[in-house]
Amino acid sequence: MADDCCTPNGQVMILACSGGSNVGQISNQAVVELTMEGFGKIYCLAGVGGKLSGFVQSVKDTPNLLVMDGCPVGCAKAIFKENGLTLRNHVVVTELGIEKGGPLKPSQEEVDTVKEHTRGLFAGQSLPKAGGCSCCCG
Amino acid sequence: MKSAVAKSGITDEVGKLIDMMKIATYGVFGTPAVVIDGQVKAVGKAPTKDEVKSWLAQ
Repeated sequence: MADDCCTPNGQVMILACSGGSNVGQISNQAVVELTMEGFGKIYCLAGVGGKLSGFVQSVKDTPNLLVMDGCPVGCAKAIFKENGLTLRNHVVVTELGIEKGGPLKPSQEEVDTVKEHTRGLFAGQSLPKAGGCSCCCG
Repeated sequence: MKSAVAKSGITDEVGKLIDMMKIATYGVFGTPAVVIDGQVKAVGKAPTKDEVKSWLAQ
């Protein structure tokens, strides 16, 4: 395969439950914005859940990982367990003072709360700037 | 990859994909990546010959 594009170079892989509740959608919006701001790169949790080899292997081979669940049901966490993957940097939106059950469309304040917490998890770590290439997977 | 495959005696085709749209169909997070018989074996790193041998033996 090509080795001149899409090389992760240690950039943070970010997976969110993106579930059907306000907190699920907050997780999704936070991950979208973190990707757009160059913090890391959004990746497809559904592909991991579907046990597609490219997705499961990508998680195994990516050192910097962020996994975001909206609520304690922990669907993302469960997907990792089901696939024998090591959970690292796990964020649960409801543990940040945001209640499940609000409007489906997230407020920017709530999204910012999650983003700030997430950035704090990696504070002090030297992370490479995410590149503009998004050709491999969304 | 090619030398490891050759040493294994396997005569299957070994190729390098450079078309990003085709690479995207494997869903890999980055490259280089290794795919054997449709299964992604490594992502973002070049495997060792021993790793390749073990995959081919499976």
